Amino acid sequence: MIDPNNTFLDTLKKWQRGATAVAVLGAVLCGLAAATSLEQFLRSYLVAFLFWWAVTLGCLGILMLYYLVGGRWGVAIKPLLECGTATVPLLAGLFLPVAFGIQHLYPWAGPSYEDRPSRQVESRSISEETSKVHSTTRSETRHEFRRFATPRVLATFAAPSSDPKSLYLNPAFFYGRALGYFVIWILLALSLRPRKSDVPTDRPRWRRLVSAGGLVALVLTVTFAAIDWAMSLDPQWYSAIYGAVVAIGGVLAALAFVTLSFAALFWRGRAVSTTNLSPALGDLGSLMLAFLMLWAYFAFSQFLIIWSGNLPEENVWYVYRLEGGWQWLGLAIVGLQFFVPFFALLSRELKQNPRTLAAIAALVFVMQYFFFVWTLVPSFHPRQLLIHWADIVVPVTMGGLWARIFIGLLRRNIPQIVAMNQ
Amino acid sequence: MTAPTSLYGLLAEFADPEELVEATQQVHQAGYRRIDAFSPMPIEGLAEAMNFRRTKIPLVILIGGIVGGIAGYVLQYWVAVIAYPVNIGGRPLHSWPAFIPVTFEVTILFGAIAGVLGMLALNGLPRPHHPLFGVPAFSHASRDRFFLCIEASDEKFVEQETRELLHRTGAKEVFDVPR
Repeated sequence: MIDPNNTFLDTLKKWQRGATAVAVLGAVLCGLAAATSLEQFLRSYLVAFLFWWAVTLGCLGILMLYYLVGGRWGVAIKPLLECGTATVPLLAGLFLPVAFGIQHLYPWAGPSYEDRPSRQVESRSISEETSKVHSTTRSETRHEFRRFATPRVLATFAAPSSDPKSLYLNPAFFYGRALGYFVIWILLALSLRPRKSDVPTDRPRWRRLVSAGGLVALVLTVTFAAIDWAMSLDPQWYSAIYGAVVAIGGVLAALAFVTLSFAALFWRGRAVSTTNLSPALGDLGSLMLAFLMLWAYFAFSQFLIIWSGNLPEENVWYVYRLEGGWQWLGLAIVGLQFFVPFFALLSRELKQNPRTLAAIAALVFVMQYFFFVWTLVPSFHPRQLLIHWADIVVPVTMGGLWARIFIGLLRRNIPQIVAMNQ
Repeated sequence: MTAPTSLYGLLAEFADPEELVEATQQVHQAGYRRIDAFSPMPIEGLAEAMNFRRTKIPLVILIGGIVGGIAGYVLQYWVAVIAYPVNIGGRPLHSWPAFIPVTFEVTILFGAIAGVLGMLALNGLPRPHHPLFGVPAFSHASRDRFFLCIEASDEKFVEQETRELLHRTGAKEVFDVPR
């Protein structure tokens, strides 16, 4: 009989070496990207950072959810969630390039945002544009979704120089808020970190209390952070459900990542009979299906409401993302991020088999990154599909670094994982 | 098939749930398949002892859901595009984003209805009478006794042998279930 602990440790060592190699090689390519075009590098970096940030806080959120509700699924993956949560301080470090690069990333922080000459030209031709819109006659049933949304119309909604939004969107307040968010997240991660005295299946009362308050704090801070770091790429645009879409996307990606690691670990380790794991794997698959549907519901609600209202200051966000090639990425997300995993996760056979569940989880994880790309990159390249090679290299590098630390923490937890799932 | 035509099956009575689970395992190992167990409360391990096979319910619900989804979408399309083509705020008649919520809800509705009706149909319900009710002691199945029934239609059913097997498994009593 092989000792399961050793088989797992060997597997993890191999993975850790792989992650280190990816991080080092990627760092060289990232340096190259930054040297070629600092602006492009910072944009790719922002997308990558936001994705891994959402994954990390997703782990924290799921861990708190487990402390509140309990269940077989949580017992199985709790050590993995704890390792994911422990990377929150790393995120604070990874935020620094974004903090230093805000004037390259955010229009509200850029130089002479208030008096770009193009804006004055845009404002003048606005009356002509609106008259066109109102000429829509009754017989013309075509939805004038596109005509509204031109940069010229958008410019009217961009506030004049005494922009009240600058009370919120200014560098000093931006840094202050970011500091506050990280303090809250690090405190939450610290208060939930595993202790030697823990009984593995126990959910102590004080942790449940921390989780109850922590979930509220997490949802609020993630919503505001999503507004600050992602939504403010289009300072004129707003959507109330935006933070929820980002938060649930993060939870979905985190759950997919943890499920993938869990299934792959036991499938590669071969130390524990997988028939014992079927119920836990099935639960994880069902939970992933639930979060997949919640994510789709949030993401679609935002689209449906804006499409129905058809107000120019709102719908422009979708026009930027549904023209010039971006619509194909959007369609791929609808198919590969929703329909394929949705139907696959209905089947009990696929959910309970570690190999197929790992494949579904990997698809959900990768497509959630592309959902972040589709959400963020068109703000830099409206109506023009443009995925730079750095958009792939930077997140993979950051993932290598993140995974290296994650696996390092996991190696210490292996006996616990094996004991809980035997 | 040597079963006499006057018999629906044999019903064994047990005093506690562990005996029932054990007897069920033995009967299943002996090769009997048309068996059913009755108990006043759920018993851990009983379904496994009977080697309870997967039902067709998920498939019925899936088909119900797909039919519902298509029906819900087609209904809205027919209403908005063919029957009452009204221009609402300049939107196209075929405003598919607006059709999605109702399509989703009708999918769930049809799936749920198919689940309930399919469950009743697969269980052979509604059914006003069952041969087991011919055994007066069977009324204890909903109170304080545990029963195992082997149907006469089972391929391995031989009245004398089966009766002996049930006694060997520790049945308090074995009843004839008249057809």
